[in-house]
Formats: sequence, structure tokens, C-alpha cells
Amino acid sequence: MDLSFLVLQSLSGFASASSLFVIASGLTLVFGVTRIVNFAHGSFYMLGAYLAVTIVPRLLDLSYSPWTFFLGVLLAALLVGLIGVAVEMLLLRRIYRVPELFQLLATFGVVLIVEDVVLKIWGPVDIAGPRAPSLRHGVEILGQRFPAYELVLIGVGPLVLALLWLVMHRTRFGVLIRAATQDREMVGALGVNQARLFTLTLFLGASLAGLGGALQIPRIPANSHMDLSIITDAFVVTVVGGMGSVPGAFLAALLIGQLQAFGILILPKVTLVLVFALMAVVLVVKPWGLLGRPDSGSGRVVLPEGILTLRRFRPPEAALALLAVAALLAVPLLGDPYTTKVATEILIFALAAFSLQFLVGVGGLVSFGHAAYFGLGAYAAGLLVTGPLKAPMELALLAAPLVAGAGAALFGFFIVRLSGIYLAMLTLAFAQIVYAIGFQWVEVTGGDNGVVGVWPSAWASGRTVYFYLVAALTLSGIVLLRRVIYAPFGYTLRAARDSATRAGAIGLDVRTHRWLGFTLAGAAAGLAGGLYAFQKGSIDPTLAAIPLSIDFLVMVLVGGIQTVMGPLLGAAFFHTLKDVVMPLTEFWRLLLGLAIIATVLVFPRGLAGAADTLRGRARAPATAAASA
Amino acid sequence: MALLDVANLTAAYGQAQVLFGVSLTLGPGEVAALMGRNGAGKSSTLKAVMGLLAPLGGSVVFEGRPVTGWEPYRIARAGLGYVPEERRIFTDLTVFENLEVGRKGATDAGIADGRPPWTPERLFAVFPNLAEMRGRRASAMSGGEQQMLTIARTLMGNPHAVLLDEPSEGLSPLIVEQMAEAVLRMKREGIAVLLSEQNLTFAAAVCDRAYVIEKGTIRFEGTMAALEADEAVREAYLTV
Repeated sequence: MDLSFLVLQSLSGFASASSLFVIASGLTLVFGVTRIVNFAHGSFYMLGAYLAVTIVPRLLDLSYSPWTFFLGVLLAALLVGLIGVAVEMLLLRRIYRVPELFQLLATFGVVLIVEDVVLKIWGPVDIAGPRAPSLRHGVEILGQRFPAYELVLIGVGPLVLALLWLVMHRTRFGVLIRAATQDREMVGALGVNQARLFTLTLFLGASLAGLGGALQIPRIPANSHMDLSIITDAFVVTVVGGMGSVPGAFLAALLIGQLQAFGILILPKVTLVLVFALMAVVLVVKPWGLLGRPDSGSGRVVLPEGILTLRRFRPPEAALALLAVAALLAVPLLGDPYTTKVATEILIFALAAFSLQFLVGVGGLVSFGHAAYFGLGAYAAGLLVTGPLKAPMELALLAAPLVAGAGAALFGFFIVRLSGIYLAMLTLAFAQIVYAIGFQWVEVTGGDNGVVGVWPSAWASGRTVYFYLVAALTLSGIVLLRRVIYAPFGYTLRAARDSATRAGAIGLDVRTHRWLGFTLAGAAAGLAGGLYAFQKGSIDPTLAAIPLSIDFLVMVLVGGIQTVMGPLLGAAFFHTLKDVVMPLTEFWRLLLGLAIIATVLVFPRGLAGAADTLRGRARAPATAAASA
Repeated sequence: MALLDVANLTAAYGQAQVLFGVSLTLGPGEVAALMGRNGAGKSSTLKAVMGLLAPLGGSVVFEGRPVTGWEPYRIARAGLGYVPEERRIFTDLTVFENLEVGRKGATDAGIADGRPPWTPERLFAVFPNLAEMRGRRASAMSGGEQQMLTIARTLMGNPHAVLLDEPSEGLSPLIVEQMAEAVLRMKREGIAVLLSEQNLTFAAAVCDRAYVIEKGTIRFEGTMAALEADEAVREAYLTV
């Protein structure tokens, strides 16, 4: 490893840092002003790449020069900016005052829609872009060749930083953005039309994402997985830098670029883990990122999140619940094997969703990576059974909640030190670590393909018997968690959710309670994951991936975040719907995305909550949120 | 005709109603006080008038235009300025940039009575200590200087009337004196002021009329002199 090699490695680190910064700067600007963590930012990035591979070759046909190449790149970026404007006007401005969780889900709905639209327009095959004229070859640096295009990229980051600095400090628009980042309500009270400010901010932010994507076309072909692969990196950069801080994003991008460039030399298998570990360390030392500041939260009017009234079942409801359980238990006796399979899966997802509701609704801990613990349980069970141990199913099902609980305890130790959006981002980051290990540690986990042959013990291998095993375990899990909600422990968690400082002031140990709650919820999700591994007969990284975490959140949301039992309903409804609709259409992502957005807009309190609202509409005064 | 006419205004934070039919008026160029104890509904009244707290019922009419339920920025552009209680200065911005946020691109209301519009230079003449620190970050200012900046920032919008929330709260006697001077200066400029206040001495020094609010309802309305003379009202609703 000589000097020239290290220099080149560092240069390529700077190049990726530059790209990362261009994308993350847009995300952090949009977050600063709108307070929305925009999942769709990854979609903007992807659209930038697709538009560039469409536009740039045509321009190069007209005139083959580096200028036309970069003109095409800019054009793609501006078009994406206009798409950002449309997204703001159609969706975001309707959800500025709904709780963060709902905003995140709604923007994830946009991600799903854009994925299907991109597949429809550009097809499923990756599209390689042209290389930039005159920049096709290498430049000699210390006796080694370094791609000229990468050198240009290294310059783009600081250039964008400088331009953004000028905009932010030398234009009225920039001054308003900085003011709104701090206190947007006050900016409004001074006569500034927030809607227009937000629209312009989205234009700028989406253009930057589009620019980031368009600049990638000589390096990576446009593909339909770019959105989610970039968004977690962009989240990490903005969170490490401090959300809303452009210079912070620059600093964080440099740090992460170098970490990746050199980390790959030392620990080639775990580059992803390194990045997220950095984020965890930074957030524990500086809970608001390197250059971020505590969120003043002033002027933020939101609907209450979580379970408000905790009443027990009334007699008719208890009878209804018993009836539902009885009907469920009768499924294998009455239904066909397919119905039994679906019912088994619903039970499993119901436990997972219920454990998430325990975190979100009771604990106020919005986890964006609950699939991590589901996945940990599934992998623990699957690897025990298929690995060198050849353990029996019984042992594996015992290990699943234990391993997932241990993982939740480890991650939770860091997570409960944070709050709000930083907490949600850290849960996402830890989930990505689990996903990355499953994906990258091929020798043990089978990588992308996973492991097959995860079958139950002989006595439980029949569909019906396995159904009853699942029913016994998941229903016990749900009943147990429900008891915890109604126990003083659950009351403590709710007190801490409503005001952590006041709960602390009356002597409650908020952190320890949250940590234990997180561990418990993780263990329950792990049990669900273990059961799912045997149900499917295989494990693979999707069991810990973002889309599954989102599915769990949607189940909670659809069921009603303010109800105790709603998530069970949500799981049943969502899984049945997915099972029925998915085979019927090639556009299921689009439909799911639209459904998520519709739920957020029309039923922000879920199915169970909507029924409540209809009953109580007459007496409850309209909340301030209704005026948004 | 009154410049600002508030009638039967009701408002709530979530399920908790805080205003139960507040009615008050503010004449052109007049300085009026909205007095009351902590939690009586002073700040909520100003916020509901400004649109920062969505009114449930009642009406707010400004210069003959019903502005009830409008978004705050439209109310501000109609010529009603707002100075919040907690100052809410943009601490990341310089003094000059704070004033820039207050400047309105296009005001619907126009400038009152052909007076010259407010510019940073004119405001620096009124608030000389701001002039010396125009390039300084607002986070590096003292509390009193920040309070002056909030007023200057609101004046940049050329308001015809200003809602001033607890101007004397938490300030040293010297700064309170400057604050009183600033209010009287606004009055001389023809700007009407409705200020919420607990400090009777301060209110008496600058206000013509007073309202007393308790539990979200107006309990007294009259001249400042009448309030000072009415020991029963002061005893019942103001004395702590």
C-alpha cells in the first residue's frame, strides 16, 4: 500500500463524497424548511438519472462536446425540480401538520408510485448512460491513472456548496429559507407566503437530487433500485451533519466518503455497517448531528400520536374478540389450504404489527426499522435449523425472540438516547445494518439468495398443525404485550411519550423503561420472524428490508394508531389486500402507494379511528390541525 | 369606524377551550392594553386574531375586511403586524437579515397616510443600538436588543396596527423604558397598538384604553384612568 495508492483511494472517496453531498444538501434543505423527511428524495435522484440517460444522448447527437453533456445533466435536474414542485403542490402541502410518521409514510407512497411509473416508462432493464466527451480517459496522478470524470465530480461538491452559500446569504429567498428553517410559523406571521416558499424550496431540493442522479450516469446505469439505495445514504449524511444544515451535510459527506474509501480496504465485507456505526456514534455524542441544533419545535401543531384512552373491553367487545379468535381458529377446519396459509401469515404479521404499535402507540418511539427484529428472528431460526447445528424447530423458535431481543437491546441502548426524527432515522440505520449483514455476509447468510430448507419439525409440518402452533404462540404474545400495556410499565411508557421531561421530573426512569420496552417489542417481532421463516421455508434479506418495515407501519396506521387492538385489524386488512391485489396487477406498488397516501390524507387515525371520529364528531371541537 | 373589530372570538388548543367569546376593538392610532393574569387568555387572543391559533367561532374584522380564519401571512399582508411574546428572533440570521424577513415583497394594504415606508435605515435611526450591530448574528444580542429587533422586524412590513404580546416581560427597567418609548413612537407614527400586559405601570404609561380578560372572557373595558381608579376590578382580575 504505497502513497500514490492511498492518494488515489482518497480522491475516489472525495468523488463519492461530492455526489453524496449534492443529493443530501437537497434533502437537508427541504427538511429544514418543511420538517418533512422526504423519502421521495431518492425517487428524485433516480428520476434525474433516467431523465439524463434519455436527454443527454440526444443532445450529444446534436453536438458532441462536454458542454452539451453538462447542459443535458442540468436540464434533467431542472425537470426533476419541476416534478418536485408537483409533489409539493399535490401532496406535501396537505400534510405539513400531520405527525412525522404519517409524513414519512406518505412520501414513501410517492416512492412506490414513482418506481412503477419508471418501470412502465423505461422498462425493467438497466440503462447505461453515455460518458462525458473529453472526460473519457484517465489522468495521470503520481504514476497512476485516475478517471478524469471523477476529478470533475470532486469539483462539483464544493461548487454546489459555494452556490448554495450565495443563494442562502445573498438572496431574499435564501434568507427566508434560513429563517423558516428556524421558525416557519414566525416567518408566516411576518407576511411571507409559506406555500410559495415551500414550493420553491422543493424545486431547489428536488433539482439537487436530480442533479446528483444525472451526474451518476457515466458511473452507474440508471436502474429502478437507485431510489432506496441512495436514500439511506442521504439520510445518514443529513443526520450525521445535522438536519437542516448544508455545511453539516458537506462535512458529513466528506467523512463518509473517506470512511467508505478506506473502510473497503480494511473490512471489505462491512462497509455498510461502518457507515451506520459512524452515525450511531455521532448521534450518541451529538444527538443533533455535527452542525445541527435542537429542534425548537415552535409553532408545530400536530394531532396526538398514539393511544390516548386506554379502556378495557366492554362486554360486547370482549364477546366480539372471542368470536373473532374462534372464527380464526376454525379457519383450517373450514377453509382450503390456501386460506390457512394466508391466515397463518396474518397471525404472524399481527404479532409483528402489535409489537410495533407497542413501540409507536404506547412508547411514542417511531421505529422505521422494525423489520430488523423480524429479520433477526427469522435469520436466527433459519440459520440454527439449516446451519452446522441442525437444531430442531423448537430450539430455533426459542432462539428467535432471544436473538431479536438481544439485538433490540443492543440497538435500543443507542436509540432511546434520541427523540423525534433522529430516533426514527437511527432505527432505520440499524435496520440497514441488519439488512447489510444479511446481504453481504454471503458465506453464512447466503447473501441475496438467502437460505432455503427452513422446515418445521415433523410433528408440526402439516399446515393445520403449524397454523395452530402459530396461533398459540402469536396470540400468547399479543395477550402478553396487551397485559404490559395495561400494567404500570405501560402507563410509564405512555407518560414518557407524552412528556419525557415531566415523566423524568416525577422520578420515572424514562430511558430504562424505553430501553426495556424496545427490547420487549424487538423480541416479540423476533418471534414473529422465526415463525415466518418456518412458514415460508426460507430466509432472505427482504425480511429485514425497508419495504417490510413500511408494511408494518402501514398495518399500524391502517388499523389506527390510537387504538390498542387496531393493528391486528390493520394486519389482517393489509395482508389480505396485498394477497388479493398483488397477483392481479403489475402496478401493485402504484396502488399500494396511492392507498398509503389516501390513508394518510383521509383517515389519519386509521380504520378504527375513523369509526371513533364518526361517533364523536358532534362533541369534539375541531382541532387546530384541521385548518392546515 | 374601528380599525380592528374582534367579536365573540372563541378558540381552543385541541380539546381545551381557552377563549369564550372575546370582543374588543382598536381605533386608528390608538394604543390599547389587554390585561390579565397568566393563563387568562391574553396571548391566545392575539394569536387567534393573527390566525396563529385557528378560531372556532366569532369574527375578526380588520379595516372593514373580515379576516377570520385567514392564514397568518395574509393577515400580516393586510397590514396587521405581530410581535410574539418569546421574541422568536431568527438567531442564525444577522440583524439586517432579520429585518429583511420582515420586509414585504408586495403589501396588499399599502402605506398608511402617505407616511414614508420603513427601511432599515429609518429603523436604525429609531433604534440606534441596532445600527451598530447590523451585521451581527442575532444570537449574539442581549435580550433587550432582541426585543427591539422584534419590533423593528415587524415594522418592516409597514403595518397599520401591531399586536404586541407582553412587551415588558422579563426585561430590565431600563429596557422597559426603551420599550415604552418604542410604543409611543409607533403611536406618533400613526400605528395602532394592541398590547397584552400584566404590568399595570407599563400599560398606564403608554395606553389610552384597557381591556381586562379572565378565563377567556373580557371582564372590564374602559379608559386606562378608569381601570386605575377601579380597585375592585384590579383586585379581582389583576393582582397576583
